[in-house]
Amino acid sequence: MDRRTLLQGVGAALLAGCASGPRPAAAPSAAPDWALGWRSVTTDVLAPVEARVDGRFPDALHGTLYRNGPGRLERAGQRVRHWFDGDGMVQAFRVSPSGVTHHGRFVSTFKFQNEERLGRYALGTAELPARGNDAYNTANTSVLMVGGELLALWEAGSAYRMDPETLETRGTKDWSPELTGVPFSAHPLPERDGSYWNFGLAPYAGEHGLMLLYRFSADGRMLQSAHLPMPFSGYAHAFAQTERHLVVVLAPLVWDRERDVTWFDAEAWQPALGTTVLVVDKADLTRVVRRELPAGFVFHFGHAWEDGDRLRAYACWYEDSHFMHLSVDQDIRGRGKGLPPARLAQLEIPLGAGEGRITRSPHGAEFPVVDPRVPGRRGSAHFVTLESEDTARPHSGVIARIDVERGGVRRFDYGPGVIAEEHLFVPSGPREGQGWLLGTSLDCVRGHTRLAAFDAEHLEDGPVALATLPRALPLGFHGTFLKG
Amino acid sequence: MKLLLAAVLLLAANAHAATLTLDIQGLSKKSGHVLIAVHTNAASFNDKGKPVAVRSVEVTDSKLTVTIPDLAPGDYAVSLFHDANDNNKLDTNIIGIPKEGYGFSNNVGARGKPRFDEAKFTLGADGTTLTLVVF
Repeated sequence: MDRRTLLQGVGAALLAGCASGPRPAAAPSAAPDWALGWRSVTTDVLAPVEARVDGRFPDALHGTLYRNGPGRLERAGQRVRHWFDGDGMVQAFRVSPSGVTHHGRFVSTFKFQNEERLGRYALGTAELPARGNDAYNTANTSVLMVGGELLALWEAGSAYRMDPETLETRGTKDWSPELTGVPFSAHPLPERDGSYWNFGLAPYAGEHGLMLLYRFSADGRMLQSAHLPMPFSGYAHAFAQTERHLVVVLAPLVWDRERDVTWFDAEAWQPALGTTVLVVDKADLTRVVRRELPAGFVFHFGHAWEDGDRLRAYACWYEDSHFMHLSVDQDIRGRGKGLPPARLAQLEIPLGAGEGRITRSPHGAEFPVVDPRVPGRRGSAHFVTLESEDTARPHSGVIARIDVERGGVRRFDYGPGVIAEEHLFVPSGPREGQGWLLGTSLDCVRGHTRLAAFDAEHLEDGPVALATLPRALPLGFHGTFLKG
Repeated sequence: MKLLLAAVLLLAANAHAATLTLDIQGLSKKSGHVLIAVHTNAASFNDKGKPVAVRSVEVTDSKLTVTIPDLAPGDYAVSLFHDANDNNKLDTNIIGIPKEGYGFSNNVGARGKPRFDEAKFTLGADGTTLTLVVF
């Protein structure tokens, strides 16, 4: 079966631009139901189901893709304030020679357990007092295998430990009594020795907030930690690393305890402060250099490396923090309201004196993924969801490989009614970016979530394998692939 | 004589002073003391002034009752914490989140430290009883 046939075989004639392909049994309505991406799952568990598989998933992808995202966004007629506030639900896609199955389960956080019991949002009221950061923990952002357990990661509190088989929640990951319940980002970075770096921000602590830094082992022990004062109570969601430095890009989105302003309030955006870069010496976490960039906002980073007297890092760069201030209704409506997408950009950060620089590429991009075999070194390939400013397409169904060094862009378009999610890279050959791309998409016309595999060097050929679930999952954020 | 008269007047005033009764619930450990402060203004409430009354009460159960007599009727706010290990401070983690129980009048503070105005209540001339839940 060639790939074009494969696409037609799943009733995706739209995708291949071929109108003669077979149609699914139920005629899809013409208009995509974008709200599917933010529709709550109202059961604790999504029981295992078989997906319909077209094509063949390569052996290198036999294993489990775990993904995390907000699975519950309303209770008793009340909706969460922001998409990021939904309760975390972990989805497991198991790929084996005999097929693909999916099951999902909510992370049983303190918040989820109690609000399930009460049937409504009650956190922070006398009925359900909130003690410490983990009371608010939705564990909804990413997943990482550490010490044989699947960690469901958030950013303002503990990771939650889950059974990788059953997805049952075991409890919070308490690294030490001192580090229990403190902010721990959803984007740990792997060091070449197999350990991980991470950071956390507590903007309400001390005078202008505290930044926490961590180094932990793959078997789940905290090797090193530090906490440093922040220059101002700004925001960072993820960070970057070069061979010798950790790079935290602090957006001028300022938490103000006195005025009751959090990062989700529009008045927190103070572009006059500029964006600050904290460059931390990996060899001595107390050595921090502060550098300035023009005001802007970043969730996610691509490759970063040392370049003589400066650092360079790719990032999905927003001109402001608008994404932090959108309601779920606005998320569903998508682009087209004067809210431009992030653009893949190179940040240039001098280690000596001088202000940094932003060089924007023309590519709207989010959910960047790079070859993990080149941590902290110069690399070319960025796998992204490609975001256009075409208002006729309020959500992006396009994934792309952007080779920043060579300038090439290879893309695949899932079609106009589909939202593409993060696609992970799984290496299979010696070249940077040689391997497979594995990711999910939500078909808002037909109401399916799909799992697709691509040759990472030939995205434009379309998927080599496509698994269609008999269910639509709410959109998630980040995942991890576990071989075997 | 004048002094004596003043003392008598003061006693008379005290006779009209009110009693604040606090029913404190939700103490998670049966150890240490509950340290209670009664404030008349925001400065005192925010640790920048002197409380009008303080109490330290030994904890032997998950609840206890404290009476604070001789307060002039008026507006107050109460703050308390459970110093379970008797080190005379509210222990916090490195980011300043309390590790020991705490509470405020009106049972505000479920999301963190409230403002004086949120915790403010009026002590009537006949006295007032408040139920305080320790978070």
